[in-house]
Amino acid sequence: MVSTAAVAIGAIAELTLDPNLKYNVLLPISIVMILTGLIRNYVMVLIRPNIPVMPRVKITEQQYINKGQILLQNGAVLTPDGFKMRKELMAKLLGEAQFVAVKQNNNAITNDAADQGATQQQKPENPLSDPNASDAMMSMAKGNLANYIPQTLIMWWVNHFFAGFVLMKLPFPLTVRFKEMLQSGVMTNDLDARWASSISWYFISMFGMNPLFNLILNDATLQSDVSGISNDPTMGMPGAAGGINPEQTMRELSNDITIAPYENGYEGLEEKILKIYS
Amino acid sequence: MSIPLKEKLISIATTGYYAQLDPKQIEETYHELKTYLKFSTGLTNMEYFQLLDLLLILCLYKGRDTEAEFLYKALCDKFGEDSPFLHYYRSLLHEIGNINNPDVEDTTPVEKDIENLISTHLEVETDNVDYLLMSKRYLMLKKRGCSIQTWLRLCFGLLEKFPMDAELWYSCALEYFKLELYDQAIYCFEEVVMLTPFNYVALGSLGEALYYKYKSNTTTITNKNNNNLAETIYVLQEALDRFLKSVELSENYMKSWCFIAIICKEILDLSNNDKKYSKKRELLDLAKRQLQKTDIMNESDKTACKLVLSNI
Repeated sequence: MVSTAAVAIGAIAELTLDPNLKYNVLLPISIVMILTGLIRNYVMVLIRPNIPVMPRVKITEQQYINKGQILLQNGAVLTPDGFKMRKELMAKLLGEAQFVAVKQNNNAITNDAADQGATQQQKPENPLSDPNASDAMMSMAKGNLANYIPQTLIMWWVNHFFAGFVLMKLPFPLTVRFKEMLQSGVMTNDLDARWASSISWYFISMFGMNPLFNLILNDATLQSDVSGISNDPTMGMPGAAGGINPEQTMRELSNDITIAPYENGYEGLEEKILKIYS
Repeated sequence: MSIPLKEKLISIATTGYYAQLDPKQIEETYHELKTYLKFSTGLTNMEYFQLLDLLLILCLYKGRDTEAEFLYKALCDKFGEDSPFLHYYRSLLHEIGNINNPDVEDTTPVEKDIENLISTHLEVETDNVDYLLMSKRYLMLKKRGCSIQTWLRLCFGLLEKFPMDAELWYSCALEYFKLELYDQAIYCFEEVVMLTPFNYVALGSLGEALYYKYKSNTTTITNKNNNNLAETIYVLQEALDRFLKSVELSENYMKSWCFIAIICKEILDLSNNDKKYSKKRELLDLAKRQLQKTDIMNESDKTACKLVLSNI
């Protein structure tokens, strides 16, 4: 199938490829890769995890942590008195860990006094028994399976039917280091690194298809599934083992807020406005 | 033609602008949306359901209850009944059912239904949207039947649970502003500005509250000794800074330019054109120039700007 056109000592081997390779190997591999990507994308949509649900007190806890961080970031837009007032309030609330959902010491979900329906005793969560955590782990496992099964099958298909095929010459020069990546399955030492084998073309397609899917699938959520971004197992698992301890985070944040100085975000604004609009 | 219409409809749906439309605009938007949904192609799932949500709301506004119920059922088939927006739509339909029923004229059953949903279900199992959405719906229903003090107390109860909700802070600020409780209004507006620092409308409202606080405090204006003058100008400067920040973010926000002109004039008058405040003179001239750009204004802005220009 591959014939040597000119081989000379010291000269680069130039190959003439059978034109049928394009239609019988290169094109089928590419089409299969695109179709597999599309099917995998829709499978991922079907097995996408549900929106994580949690007790309201956990959302409140998270909101107080975020608000403390926002006070540090955006405190400059406040008046000096406004900043001081909020600084004292947030340092107190966070320092006392008043809105922590699950206290580490007394194992109770805490609430504010006015809150009526939510106060209830609860043991610290076991991440393995938390339905949200197990859902996230299950969806991660499903996502991984949806990636690995087609990859394994296509790899077997390419290796079985097209092993050792040299398919194409890349239109740009490459160093020898790329030989291993581009010419896997081809047992030659002196072939230019620009020549790509069938299995290498499979890998190039696998890792280089995302821009194409971005073009075909006009949906941000679907694209993120294809690229596997949404497979983070820690997402939606607050309080999971090894995760951040909210009580400790609140106390650290409280310390940061206590020592945070006020910065006036309106300084030099008059000059700036005159410069912009004059 | 197709892309701007799609963008227009989606922005009406996502920003909640439908609440500001007058009856004629509601009628037009309804027909545009119906036609668009019939012939459109290339909508993503997210866009399609956003537009379906908008259609349901417009149906309710137009009194097309049967069509709204049909859409609600279609959405239920897709998402199941236990979904944030479907909880919301169910309560809207429930309210309409009560209005249509002459025996039950008040909204108490709907309120009780929401209270029940929140305490038995959402308190234990919710997401970032559901609890807040239903609580706000509850507050909206309550507003019709209780005093403003009670309503504000309920709002702050919810804000204690969701301190990051800028919309709720803004509602409270507006109520305090109406009651002329400027300190409280300033606190609430500052919360909004802190949570959304690029919100030029909130910055303008904060400046307005600071300015009216100064206006309401008559003693600082009458006693013009040096200390009081510095204090008065400091308060005005605080208000001016918010308006300047607002126009830095949006050049066409005319309300802020109006207040910049008014405050600069006031500072210059108070200080008897002291050279220390020469920047205010430049700002006043700049604001006047901006207020004369009538080609970029709507009718109400034009009237307001003319009035301000004639008084400074």
